Amino acid sequence: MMIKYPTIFRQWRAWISVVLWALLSIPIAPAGTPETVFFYNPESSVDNFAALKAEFDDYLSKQGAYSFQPFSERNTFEVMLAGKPQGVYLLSSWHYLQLNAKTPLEAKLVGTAKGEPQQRKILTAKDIDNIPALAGATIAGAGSEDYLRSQLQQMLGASYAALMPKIKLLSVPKDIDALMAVSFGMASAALSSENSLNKLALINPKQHAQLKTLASGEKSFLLIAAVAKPSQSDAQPLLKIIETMQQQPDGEKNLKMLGLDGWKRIDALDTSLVKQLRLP
Amino acid sequence: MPMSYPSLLQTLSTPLLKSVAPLLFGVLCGLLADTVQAQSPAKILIVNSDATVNKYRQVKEAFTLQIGTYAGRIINFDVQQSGHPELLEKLIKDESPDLIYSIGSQAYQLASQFGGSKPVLFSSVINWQRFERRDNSYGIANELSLTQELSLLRFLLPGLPRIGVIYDPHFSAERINEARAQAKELGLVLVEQTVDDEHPLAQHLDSLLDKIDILWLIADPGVLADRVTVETIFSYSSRHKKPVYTYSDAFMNYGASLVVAADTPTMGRQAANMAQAILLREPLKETVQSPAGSHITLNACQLGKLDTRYNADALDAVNQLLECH
Repeated sequence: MMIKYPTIFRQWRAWISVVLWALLSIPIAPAGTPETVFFYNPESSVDNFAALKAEFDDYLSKQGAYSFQPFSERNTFEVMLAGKPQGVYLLSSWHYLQLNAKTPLEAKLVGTAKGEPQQRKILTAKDIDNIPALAGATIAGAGSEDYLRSQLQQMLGASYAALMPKIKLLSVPKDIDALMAVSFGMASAALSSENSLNKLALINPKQHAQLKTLASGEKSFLLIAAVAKPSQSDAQPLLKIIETMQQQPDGEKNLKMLGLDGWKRIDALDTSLVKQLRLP
Repeated sequence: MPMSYPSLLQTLSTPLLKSVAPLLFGVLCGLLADTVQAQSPAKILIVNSDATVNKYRQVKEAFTLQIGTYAGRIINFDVQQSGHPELLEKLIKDESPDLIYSIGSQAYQLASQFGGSKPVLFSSVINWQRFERRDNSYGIANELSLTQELSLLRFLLPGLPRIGVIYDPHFSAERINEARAQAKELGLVLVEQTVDDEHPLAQHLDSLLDKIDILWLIADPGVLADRVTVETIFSYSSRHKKPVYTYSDAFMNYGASLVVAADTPTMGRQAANMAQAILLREPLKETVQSPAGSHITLNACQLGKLDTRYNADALDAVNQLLECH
């Protein structure tokens, strides 16, 4: 026996079917198509992911069906990457070299600041004159604790290995916070880039003059734009859009949000520099 | 033939060492006891005014993560959830924590009241100076110092050298003295306007705004007495086409151009480092530290309307960027 539904209910069913059909018909791009730019940077702790997402989505959507996906958690980013989704990855060179050992990536572009693709990290202090005096001291720096500790280890070398457990690290959102923390007495030393120290010189020459450089690290690359290996030819249009960002005002502004002012192709760099991005 | 070395027993049996051995043993035991005391995991009581408040939750998470294994045990007490703040007194007596970390004003007041001789560390306490502080009280201020605020203003909006500031000398005289010295260092001019009962704010706003490039609204309860005053300040500033720089995102709705506040997770990490220093009895430069991290909101839309340029090289330090979309 057939159940007879009231007319109004039959109409609802029809409408629900239409809505479901319409929803299922919408072309949903699978996560990690070549149209996505993935971003994670352990060298900065600025919680600006919503701003980055809004600005990059706005910029990229004008160039095509592209989108931007920032990550705040290293693990989440790495799990995503292990699935080798199609797209372009923006990541720090320090992280790139670590990741490359387990997830093969190929660097295509390197970010530049003031035209330079590399930066040097330095350790500065106000009232401390030598490295051994850092025992018990607080060192402020931007980025994850893993990153800060590894930079410090590299800077101080094996001869000061015993000093490391005696140092307290304080992760702050950005370099300028770290430098000001030393000037205003919340930290004894700051781990920052040379570029940031130069910025402090422009803001407050007196504070800058009070800081002494205790140690400096090797030069390292700024942000890297990479693709998963084997290289995807279909990532070329998106790489081109990233490479030419500085040519448009909105693109230039978005680059500044990443602390960059342009990109250089890896294949246009000196061979000696490129070697630094290859695994031993 | 290989040389044979005397055993430890043989060495200790020599008359000289026999006489100094008890002394050496005592010194060694003393050193070991000190080391154990310094490195033994601490018991920390976290008193949270209200764990459902996002900022309190963030600061606690950052604290817990930073203190890590140094804290052998963390005990939590949520004032709001408990419903009976007096239970805290019993908890402190029963557990006898090595340190009490209080989050928020209510938690700090209770921890100070019931904490006895235990060190009490605070954070997220608005205007901590209004509370009486004991010798065993330490903290991370909730607001950046005026000198930090000025430095960050100089960083983000470098083209505006004449900074107008309104303050009540009863509340902010000392802080303004520091800010004045800092302004000089930064090549800025502080144009000051005081207010009190006899000289209400509206009387001075027109003349002040004519003389300045930007108005700096500081956390001064003598100035920001009520909503009407805030609306008046923003309305005058808008009429004079002058941007307003201030310390809380709450002013974004009124049309603030730039807000620089303290970064909440950094306060939790700072509190953890300070807790460790207190427990290790390390010397502290300041018993109440200013926050070391900043959270920046730049209203590029509003600045554009006022034809004011910002430092594009500082954009990587900005947390929130508001554009005209």
